[in-house]
Formats: sequence, C-alpha cells, structure tokens
Amino acid sequence: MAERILLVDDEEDFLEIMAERMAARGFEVVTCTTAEQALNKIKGETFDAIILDFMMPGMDGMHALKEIKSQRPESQIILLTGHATVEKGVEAMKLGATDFLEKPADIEALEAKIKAASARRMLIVEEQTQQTVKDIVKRMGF
Amino acid sequence: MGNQTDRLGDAGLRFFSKMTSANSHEAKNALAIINESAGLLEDLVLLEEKGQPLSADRLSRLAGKIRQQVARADELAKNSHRLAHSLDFQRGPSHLGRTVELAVSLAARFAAMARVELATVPASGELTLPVSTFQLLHIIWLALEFALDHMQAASTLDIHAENVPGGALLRLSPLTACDTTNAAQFTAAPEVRTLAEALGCTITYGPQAAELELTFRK
Repeated sequence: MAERILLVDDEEDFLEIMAERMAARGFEVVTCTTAEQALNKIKGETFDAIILDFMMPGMDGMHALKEIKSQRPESQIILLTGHATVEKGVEAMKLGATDFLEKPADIEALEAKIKAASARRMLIVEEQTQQTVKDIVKRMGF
Repeated sequence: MGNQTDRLGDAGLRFFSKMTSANSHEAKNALAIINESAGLLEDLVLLEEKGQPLSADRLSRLAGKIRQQVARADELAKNSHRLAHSLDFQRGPSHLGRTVELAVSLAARFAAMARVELATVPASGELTLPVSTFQLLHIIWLALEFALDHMQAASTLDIHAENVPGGALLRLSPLTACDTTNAAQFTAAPEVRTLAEALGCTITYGPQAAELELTFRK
C-alpha cells in the first residue's frame, strides 16, 4: 500500500515538482500551500508523513508543527528549511518533529526518512489499537 | 551605551546581518526549485528509457520554471550586491527613489510573510540627498518593517517618494493596524532616533490617513 504524504510549502513551483517526483516514486501525495490549509486537511484525513516548510506566510512551520501534534499526536512531521541550524533542529525535535532537513534536499534521503516515519507511525497506531482493545476487554470483564 | 557612531555601527551591522540572512534564505528556496527541476528531468529521462515518451510541452514548461528561478536568484544576488555597495557612499549623493526600490525589494519576502502587498508609486524627478546611502536604506527598512508589523493581512502598503521644499519626503500608507501610541514608540526607539538624527530626518505619523512620513532635509 502506498505511503500517503502531505506536502506543505508556500512555494507552489516547489510543491508541484516535488509532488510529481514523489508520486513517480509510488507515494500518494496531497499538497497545501499554507499551514492553515494543512490543519484543515488533517482533521478529516490521515497521512503517513507530513513534510512541512519552515517559513510560510501566516502560521510558520514551528507553530504548525505544534498545532498538528496537538491534534494528531501520532503524526510524523519532517521539517524542511532553507537554513538548518542546531538551535532550530533542537527546537523542532523538542516540539515533536520526526526529522529536520535543509533545502535543497536529496530526494533519496527524503524518501528514506518518509518510509522510516511511516513505519514509526504504524507502530504508534498499532500500540494505540492494542491499548484500545485491552481497555474494551477490561471494561467488558473478559 | 557608546557614542552615536557606535550605536549606528551596531544597528547597521544588525540590519546588514538580517538582510543578508533573509536574502540567502530566499536564494536557497530558488535553488531548491532548480534542484528539484533537475531531479525531475532525470526522472523523466529514466521513464523515457522505460518506454514513457517525453512530452515536449512538459520539458518546455520545466525549462521555463528553471529560468524563472534563475531570474529570482539573480535578483537576490543583485540585491545583496547593491546592499554591500550602499556602504560606498557615506556622504551621498544618495538617490532616494533607487534606495526605496532596493529597500522594497529586500522587504519583499517579509511583506509576503505578513501577507501585505507593497506598491511603490514611481518618484517623479531626481531625488538626491547628501547622506549615507546605507543609513538611508536602513531607516527606510525600519519604516517598512514597522509598517508591516502594523498592517492587516491582505492589505496594500503604498510607498511614495517626492521632492518637497528644502528636501524630500517618503510616505508609507495606509498603516491599517497602527495608532499614535505605536507610532510614537517607533519614532522614540533609540535605533530610529539615532538614524533620523544622523540623516537630518523627521518622522511623523498622521492618524487620519494612517500615514507614516519621513521628511529629509537637504
């Protein structure tokens, strides 16, 4: 089953080309040009990984990261930035980012990170499901 | 605290640093698109080798996008160059219109982030001032930055320079989310005050038309 990814970047040309390249690699791609659009998307849809630009008009990547994690804690978020610094990286990880990449990013490296993020998300969802089943069994007194 | 020269120097360095950083960040964005475009070309070649024909129209559009990003990166490099060379003219003559153009160009990304459109009204006639081009650029930037912080999203900031008796005037309007208290705080800020003093500039705010005016005496 194809990994489902959400690409969020205000640069439409970047989004269009990246989406085409990721689709050619077998990913199911959804795109948004603002963090606000992305937050609306995740309300009704699930994604194996979210690739989020750091600097965007309105809500920036760090703020969006916080909001996404509060709505969907299991989300795997990879931040993309024009200038990666240790401070930014540490802050992003503290807020729950899965990874942090500098543009221009190597697509093979991004692909590997998405697959790893997707596997991590599956584990989290599996654990959550197991816990839910245990809770039901306990409640039913089996 | 230091003397005026120290304060101007420190503030100038911070301004230079901020502009250089923003410019290089933008250049990285342009390079990322060029990089992905090159990657897509490689992908299309691989697909062609597997039997999927290349579309001339697709290639043409991709070439167009690469050219656009090259032009963007070129503009950023030119801005960096002009910023660096603004330090060459410490006592003028400084061209107000051209300096405003550079400041607006440097502010473009910040305006986009604030979701504000910048509209420069072309200056009529030659507006020159016997002042440091770098300091002139710096104070225009500070005024733009203040305006962007006090504008509602999806609004337009008009920037207009003109000759006035005894000098030149730069007007930014309308500052759609500004009041007289904000404006007073801006003009009283040490960095702004020191620069205005060095440039022979008076900054006023007209609340009715929400106009910020910088008047330069020749």
